[in-house]
Amino acid sequence: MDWLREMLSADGFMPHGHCYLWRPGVLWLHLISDTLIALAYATIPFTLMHFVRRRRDLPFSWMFVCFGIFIIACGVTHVMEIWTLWIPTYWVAGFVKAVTAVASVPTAILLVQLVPKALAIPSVENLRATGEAVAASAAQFRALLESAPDAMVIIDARGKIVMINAQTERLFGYRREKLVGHLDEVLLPERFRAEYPERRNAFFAAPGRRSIDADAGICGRREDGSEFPIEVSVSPIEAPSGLLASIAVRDVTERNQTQARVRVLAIAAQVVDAAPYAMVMTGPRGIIKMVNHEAEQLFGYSRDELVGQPVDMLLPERFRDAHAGHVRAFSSAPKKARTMGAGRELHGLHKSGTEIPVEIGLGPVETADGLFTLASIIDITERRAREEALRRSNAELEQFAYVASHDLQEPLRMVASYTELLGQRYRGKLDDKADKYIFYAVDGAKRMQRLVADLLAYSRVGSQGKAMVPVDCGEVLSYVLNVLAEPIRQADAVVDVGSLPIVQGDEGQVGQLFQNLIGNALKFRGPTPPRITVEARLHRGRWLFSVTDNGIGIDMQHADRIFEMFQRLHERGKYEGSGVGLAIAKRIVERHGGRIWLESRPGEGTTFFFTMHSVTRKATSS
Amino acid sequence: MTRPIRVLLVEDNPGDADLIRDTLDGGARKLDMAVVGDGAAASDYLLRRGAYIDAERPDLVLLDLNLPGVDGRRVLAEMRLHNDLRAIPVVVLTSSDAESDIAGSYEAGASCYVTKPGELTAFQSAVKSIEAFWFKVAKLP
Repeated sequence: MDWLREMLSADGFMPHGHCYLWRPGVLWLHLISDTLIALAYATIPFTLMHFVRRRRDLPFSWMFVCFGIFIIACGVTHVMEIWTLWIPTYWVAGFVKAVTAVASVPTAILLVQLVPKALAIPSVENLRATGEAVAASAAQFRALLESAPDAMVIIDARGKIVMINAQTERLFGYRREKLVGHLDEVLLPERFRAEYPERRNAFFAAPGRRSIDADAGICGRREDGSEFPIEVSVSPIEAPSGLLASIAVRDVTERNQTQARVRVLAIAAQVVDAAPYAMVMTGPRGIIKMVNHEAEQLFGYSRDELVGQPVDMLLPERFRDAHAGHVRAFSSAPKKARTMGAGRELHGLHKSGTEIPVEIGLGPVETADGLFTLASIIDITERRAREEALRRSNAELEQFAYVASHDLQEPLRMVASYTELLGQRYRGKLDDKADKYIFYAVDGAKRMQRLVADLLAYSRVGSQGKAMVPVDCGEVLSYVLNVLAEPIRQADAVVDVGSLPIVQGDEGQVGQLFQNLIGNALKFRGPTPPRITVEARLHRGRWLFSVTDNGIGIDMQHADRIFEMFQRLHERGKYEGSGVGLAIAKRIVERHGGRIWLESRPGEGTTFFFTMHSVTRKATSS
Repeated sequence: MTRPIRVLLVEDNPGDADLIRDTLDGGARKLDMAVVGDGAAASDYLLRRGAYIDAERPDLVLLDLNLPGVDGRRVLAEMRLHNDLRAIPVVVLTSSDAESDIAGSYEAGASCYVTKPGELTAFQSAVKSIEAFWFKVAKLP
């Protein structure tokens, strides 16, 4: 401790001022100079520190630290110089000087070593030149980036976007500053984001050109959240700051659509060719542009013989003049598909010269080369034959029913007449059994006659029908009520007739229809006197007639059956008739293009409904 | 007028022929009825040919339409074309009630058209009516 006291003590020394003989001039000179040097040395390290802190990129920053320490130390020696003018602690001053020396020598040595490195630091000139070169190359790179047809996104290894081109802005809808410096995940829909960093890391771990084509199904995401299918290729870029990746993103929406369209077109072509009916497409001037396989089959020409030729070659000569007019009319008509030559017989011409009955549908096809017409042609030879066969078969059947019933009547009349004659002439002359047998024979023959007559009446609805003319239903009904006057009186029935219209019909059959329905109501009456209402109202452009009674009604499960021939719901003898009345009614209504049905509740009554084509309404009343 | 009324019945159905004869026989006036079964025989009878060379000209013809071979329509047409036969009244008596037959017969010159009723009594009364009208009411040429 004595040693330390000795060190800090000034005992035994003369203040330095003494050496200056306490002359104020020299004292002031030293004092002011040392003070200024110390103050200056005290500020320099702060300035250096500030500089170093601001210029983080500064090379050799440790050198500035060394300099700072060295200058502080120098400053302190000067402070000591002032101090020792009056207080001669020369040990302390010497130590401070020694510290300064320690700071100075390595700094000097290091500085020497630094010179070559410092020399390597480009000069400002150099730097400007280099900067210009860098700027030029950056401009080139940017131009390259901008000239790329794809959106280009440059990222660093952490996925931060370093640079993008204008296409990226356009494609993704982001402004540049919203992307640069951000992670590239923002360009992906959220569902892809989780696994993406892993892929990115894999790329930077093994850099190399890679692409993900559109089939992978990846999508880009715009700023507004909308998505679009993309194709991506990634290449590594060696940059001074490290490895970067350049990502080229291509929007394949349009290509996908085009591909889809091409695929659809290919399918359409196949469909057209595989279509089960002939198709012929013609251009604006009636030149055949396309035919399908079935058209080749139908007309007997090969595709090559048809395409490029006028479509008239497929028409029988007698139609060709008229056809030109139809073509013009179709081209100028509203553009929609329609059936050709409605109501007319159409024929095509086979290569062999034979005519083919056809049905043709026409559809306009707008193309870049003008309005094309697509004709679908169906060979109706077979259909015609079938229709003809059906018509003939129906006619024959009707003829058969008519002739059969007609011819049946003759021998039947003989059986009936002569058994009855037997009854007339020989009743009581033979025994009781003979009388009974004769009765059965007469009864059977009469019933048979009735059936045959009904069958004949039924077949006549078709075979003996008259032309459809306006028929005043009111008049017809009053006639019918006149005919039925006796049964109506016997049944004590009341018939209410509403206002009835004029319909398009066969007067005789309309009368028969009313007669059968009212007759039915009279026949199947309940315990109270029959009340029958006949009405009509317009329903969906047609007349809906109703004949309502308060009779025994019918279980609705038989509703369809009762319109069939000879269908009876009751045992013989209870109600008269062979069960043909409603079958005839149905046939009449159907011949008039209408429909007949019924609604009924057993024990309450029945309403028969039927429809008829209207002509006009005419009020009539009973 | 003592001469019996001469009637030619053209009817292929013997049952009907018998019924008609049976019914007409019940009339008050003497009746001379000949029956032929087809159109060819009817023509021969009317024109007195072949087996009917001695046949008398009938006062009235009851004519069925549907006959084997030459049918009643042809017989009627021939009669109306023939000068000697044109004036003989022809009653068409047939089972047909087809409109075409009715209209066609009158157009061809039938004097009247009767459809054979299916029922015996109705048939009998129809024949009686014919008898009553043509033999009693109407004057025959």
